[in-house]
Amino acid sequence: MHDITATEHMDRLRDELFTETAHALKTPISVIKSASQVLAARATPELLKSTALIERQCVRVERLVENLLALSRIRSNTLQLHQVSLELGPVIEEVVNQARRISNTHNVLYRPGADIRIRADRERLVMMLRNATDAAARASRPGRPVTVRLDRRGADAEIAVAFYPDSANHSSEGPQKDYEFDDLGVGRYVTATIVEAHGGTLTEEADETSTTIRIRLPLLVESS
Amino acid sequence: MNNGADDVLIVDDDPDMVTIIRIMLDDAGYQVRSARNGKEALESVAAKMPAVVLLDILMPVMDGWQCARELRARYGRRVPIVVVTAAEHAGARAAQVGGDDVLAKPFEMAELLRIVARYVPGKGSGSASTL
Repeated sequence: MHDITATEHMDRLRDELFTETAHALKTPISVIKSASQVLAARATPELLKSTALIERQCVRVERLVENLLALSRIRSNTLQLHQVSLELGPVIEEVVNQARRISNTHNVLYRPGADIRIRADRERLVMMLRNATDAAARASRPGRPVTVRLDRRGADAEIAVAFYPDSANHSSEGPQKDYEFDDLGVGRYVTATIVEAHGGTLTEEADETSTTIRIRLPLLVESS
Repeated sequence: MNNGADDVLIVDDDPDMVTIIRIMLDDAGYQVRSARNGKEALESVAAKMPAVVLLDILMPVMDGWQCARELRARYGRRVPIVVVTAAEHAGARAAQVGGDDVLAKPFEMAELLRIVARYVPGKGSGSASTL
């Protein structure tokens, strides 16, 4: 009994340390990213490649920190959702615009299909969308587009992120999931958990040429 | 949205954060001053009213919560407060503090300029607060 309590205590301490460290990293990331943007505003075309590289790597660390923070919340059962009624299209557009600005190898496209309102935590929604578009861009063949579609499917909103996996990773044994959502597996776990916490589902499917990450979230039911 | 003042007060205990925000705002043509904690911020506001306060939350001596409470008690809504925070659910946190707006760390330069423009006259209208 004593051992279990001690283990739980150590787990809690580890989660707290994890959370505090992730929080503490946000300020230095912010300073480095901002300094890179200041330099970019004054840089020569040649230097712009370096400032863009710094910013891309900052975004990578930023995403990792966000996911580790969410993971620690999930582990300690303290993940909170501040759900509000919101229009899904503009949120997707914001994420896609940012992904397009940052990516140097892919064109990220958004195909809005319907005006859709859902009930969601905006911050967590942005996180799951970023994770899905990042995963697609990372695994996609350079030069091929990543396409994000929003459609209504029955009682759900469906966000489909489609891409063409890099042939270097493609299996000759036919269609299969031939990519990893993220290096550590943290991004996929966090995304799936947040989607499920919103009452939705996360699935991935592949055919001979393309792979699609599908996020389904329940449509907002307006009370009369 | 503006109170007639023309400068920005940055309140943050991290000198690098103050420096980089100052550079971005200087480049955009803003008048800028800074304070290292809530107590210094209150003294600075008492000496001269700023157009907007960019307020960090976790600071020594006097934190952002206390500083925001004091500013509201002394000046009501005449001093716009933009909460600059690394906290999760930054918008909800800023509303709790009594902020008019929020800038979540890590932020984009364009986002900083868009928000500050809402409160400083002659620098653009900016879009509405997200809170």
